Amino acid sequence: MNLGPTHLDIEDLLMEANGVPLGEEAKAHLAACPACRSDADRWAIVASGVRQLVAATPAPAPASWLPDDSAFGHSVKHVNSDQHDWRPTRTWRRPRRAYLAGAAAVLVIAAGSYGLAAGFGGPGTQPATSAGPRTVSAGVTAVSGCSALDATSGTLEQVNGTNLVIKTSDGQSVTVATSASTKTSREVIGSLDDIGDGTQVVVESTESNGTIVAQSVGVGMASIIAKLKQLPIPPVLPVKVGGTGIGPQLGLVSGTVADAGAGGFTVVEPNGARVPVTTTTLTTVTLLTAANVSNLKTGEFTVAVGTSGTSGTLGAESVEQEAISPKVLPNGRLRLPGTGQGGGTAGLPNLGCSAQTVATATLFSVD
Amino acid sequence: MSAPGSSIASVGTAAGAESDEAHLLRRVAAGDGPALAELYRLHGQVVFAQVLFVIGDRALAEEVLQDTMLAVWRQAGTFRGESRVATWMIAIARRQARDRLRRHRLEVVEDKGLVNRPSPDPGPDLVVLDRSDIADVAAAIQGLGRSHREVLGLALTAELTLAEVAEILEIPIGTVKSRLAAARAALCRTLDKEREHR
Repeated sequence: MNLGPTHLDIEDLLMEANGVPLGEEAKAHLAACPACRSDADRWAIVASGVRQLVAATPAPAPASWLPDDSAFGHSVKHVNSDQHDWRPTRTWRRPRRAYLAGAAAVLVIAAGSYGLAAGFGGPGTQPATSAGPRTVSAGVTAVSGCSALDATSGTLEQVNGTNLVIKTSDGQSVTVATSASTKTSREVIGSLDDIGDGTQVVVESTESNGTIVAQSVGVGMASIIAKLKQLPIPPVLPVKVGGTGIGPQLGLVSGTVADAGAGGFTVVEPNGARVPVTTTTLTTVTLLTAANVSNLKTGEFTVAVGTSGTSGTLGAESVEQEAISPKVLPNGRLRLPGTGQGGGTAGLPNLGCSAQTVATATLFSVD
Repeated sequence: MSAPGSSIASVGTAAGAESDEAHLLRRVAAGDGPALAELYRLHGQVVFAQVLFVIGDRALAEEVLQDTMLAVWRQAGTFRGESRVATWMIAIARRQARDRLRRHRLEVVEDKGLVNRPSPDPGPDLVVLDRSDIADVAAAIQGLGRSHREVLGLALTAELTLAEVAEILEIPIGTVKSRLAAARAALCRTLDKEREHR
């Protein structure tokens, strides 16, 4: 921590504004120092302004020089001959968003059971149930099976004090009012150091010669994990990615970590089964951490769950935001074997009507 | 930064990902085209966003991005592993942008003297930020000087440490901090003036 004589250093304030976890000492200082809190909040406002501008950055024009090896070879020839004529030869392919696929695979079931997916707009999201969701107001959907809950999701456009504006995939702007009781969380990138004995995890994994290798690990979704046993999911659920033969067969393991050490850990599943998991340098770790409204970043995928008012404003009980960043490749979609995209979920039990659980389920269900 | 391929830290655990990216660079140095494409996929959007944020001209930003990837192709063998690959690429992009701007004879804000130059204006009232909505702040940021926009963009959206920002800007970390403070102060003055005009 960088403490000055009495206050936090700008580096700590920026970490707070950027949603990077502070050290314990800095965190304690921030909690006890109104001046530092105000300063951090002001940096967060500046950060939101910058992010709003940067989030509006378009993708660069098609970088057609990307390989295809043959096309690239042509381009390299120009480069090596010191000609700066690096001409496009191929259509641009946008890198894909990738998700915490393991959690998504489980939670797509959960969100499907809430009847949310159809109205919740990540790109490519398909209806999870034939009935589809019930629209409460523009951009706001009723959570089926939870009569008191409504929800919205999309890109966070603005943070105005305690109010958020979320733009849904169909272009509706929804105002979300937060209060002191709103539970706000943000997904951030973690590391293997965040996994210790007792940590609750959802692990997306591949299996090779009997060894389960973690591709991605989700931490901080305890409310979901505790209820996974309600779902008819075997300890390792084979999940076909994309349905196109891309990528390995993926599986899921979830539960509480034991025997954490260099190179891996054991997951103790809710049914008591112990599953040894190996980690590698490519294992990604994602944390769902508590956040302030001021920590939320514009331009990122956000879910709000609560109750609609007559004005169309959604009073949020829970707000969760996903850091939109590639974590797991394949093609950004999950398909359960033998089902349609996100389909086959009707009739599964939902995970209860906690706004936080619904928000978490939805956050990880949309690709 | 929400665009695909934007996260620097997301490829794996930090050390592992960095090791993988350094390996990618070694492949690039050996003439492996797909490795360069992979680096572009990982960091191209971040580099482009930072460049566009600073110079504000899309066509020029795209030229800079292409120049940057060309420079990565040529200079991959010179990467010594003393910084993260992303930091190294952004630093290249910054130099390319500076060269492009000079070629276009646009105003270039040099580092020297900018930060410590005292403002003739009264000290900013930071409270103005508390009363501003994000759209106003974003609009005011667009009106800041290039050097101020640059340091804000790097420190607040590129997932870099201040030490890495310092490395990219080729200035001491203390100067990064004071430039950040100066950028925020300039922002507050702009917001304050806009309020007075309303």
